[in-house]
Amino acid sequence: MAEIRLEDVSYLYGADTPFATAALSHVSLTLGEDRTIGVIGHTGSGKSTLAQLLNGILRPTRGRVLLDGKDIFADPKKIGAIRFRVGLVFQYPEYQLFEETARRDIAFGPRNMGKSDDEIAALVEEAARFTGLDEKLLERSPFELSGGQKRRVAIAGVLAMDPEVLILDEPAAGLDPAGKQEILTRLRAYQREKKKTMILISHSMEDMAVFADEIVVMKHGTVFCHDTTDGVFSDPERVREAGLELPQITRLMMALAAKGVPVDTGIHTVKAAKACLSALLKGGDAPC
Amino acid sequence: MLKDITLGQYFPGSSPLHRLDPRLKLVLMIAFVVLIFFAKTLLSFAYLVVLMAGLTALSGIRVKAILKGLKPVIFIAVFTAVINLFWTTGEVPLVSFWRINIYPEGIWRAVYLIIRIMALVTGTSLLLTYTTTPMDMTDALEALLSPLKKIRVPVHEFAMMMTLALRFVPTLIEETEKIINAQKARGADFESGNLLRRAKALIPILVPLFVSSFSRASELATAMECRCYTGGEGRTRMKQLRLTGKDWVIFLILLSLFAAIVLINFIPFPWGTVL
Repeated sequence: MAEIRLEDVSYLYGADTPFATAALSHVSLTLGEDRTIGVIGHTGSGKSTLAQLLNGILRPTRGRVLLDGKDIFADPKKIGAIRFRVGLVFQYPEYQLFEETARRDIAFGPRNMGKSDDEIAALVEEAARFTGLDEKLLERSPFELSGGQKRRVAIAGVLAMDPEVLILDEPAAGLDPAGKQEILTRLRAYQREKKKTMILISHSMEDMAVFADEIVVMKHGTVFCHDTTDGVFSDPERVREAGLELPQITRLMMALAAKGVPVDTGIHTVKAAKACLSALLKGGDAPC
Repeated sequence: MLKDITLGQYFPGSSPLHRLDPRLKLVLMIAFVVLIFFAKTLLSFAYLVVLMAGLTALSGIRVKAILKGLKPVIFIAVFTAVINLFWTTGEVPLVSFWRINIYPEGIWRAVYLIIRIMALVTGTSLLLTYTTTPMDMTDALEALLSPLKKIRVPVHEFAMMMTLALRFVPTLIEETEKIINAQKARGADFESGNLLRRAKALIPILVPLFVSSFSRASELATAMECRCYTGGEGRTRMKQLRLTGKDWVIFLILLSLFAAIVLINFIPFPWGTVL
């Protein structure tokens, strides 16, 4: 429901000191509404800096960040209101839990927004539903929960603010494959159902290929390319140039194509590959 | 903002001050701190300034960095100087209006106080924090305090605690910053409201910080035990501290230069003496 635009944004760490280093330089981006946008890049490519610029935790050294056409720093005193509209889940967010029960921790954001108790209860309920936390878990201390549950409580804490834009910095980092899959699937479902703008930051091409509509590839603090997911994977050379690995399934398809099997090398999800290969096995010979 | 804290900041280098044995540096620092308070005359304070300049040159650390380190004490120095300026009494007032008298003694005392505080900070940082790694510092402390082991003071354990505490200062600063940002993203407000409200606003930072510090401490303890750490007994060192002739020469030269402060007091000088 909201669009974020960056206009020629640069960010320097340690500006005004001799050690100033550019984390982002001259980034212009439009992150459109009602879709999941994956931001991918190597360590040090500026992904996390970008995330913190989008909700005003960091202030651009140069350039502007626009939310629905308005500069978020137009009135620096009201930056708090922007942070409610643009929710940011940091890396390893479980370190921010502090309340006595998971429920109260999730309610921290909405309470800061000044919502009424009834509204808070409804928001917490909804956030818990989207992250798959049941009633019983909500009454327990967040410190008694497992790693994956803590992560979900922390994410629910941001979802409960019902932000228009949701940014998640490596939401699945450090989780086991099943937990990773679950959290990403749930987030994707949330984004679709609520028609939010969701920005997923990750270094895993595998996850992006499955969960993102659009992909922004970052390299050395600049935008290397910004395209639809299909568009990005249709050009494997460009992906390699950015120093990123193609998803395993795409590499498998390319290997098959090299052996003369007529498959589409742009396939990047297991589901699409399965459909394509079973069609081939059933005797269809047209490339899928 | 938290990154500005330069507690125990070390400037890498290979100057004679850097290479001097840390134990001797510690002794020198104690001697210096004591001797600074013996300065009484204008000449000895002038000598102190020259001495600081000399030490700075010897350390090879940029003057700019040292001045930056002095910034935090400027307020204290000026504050105490002003107090002394108004409250010192002498014989003939220099300026006198309403009920305030300013005596020449007051002016001297104020100037001396500033020099003394600045010299105290520069001297100790140059001798120790700027030119000694935290590891060397705790090693030196352990070595100097080791006689206390005879009366069952766990000197090694104290030194290890200090090493660990210093090691985790930057980690904790980074962690605090992370938590502050995460709570800010959930709309926490640390800047408005009365004192009670602000104190309460710190809970969302302090609780996670405590929790992670405790879990980090227990992980560290496990990791140390896994590597068979059992305390100071029978423990050998990878880096042995060894005193060389060169160390002693530098030590004695610096010590006599510091001691000269006392001697210079005896040179008669027409004005500027404060008792």
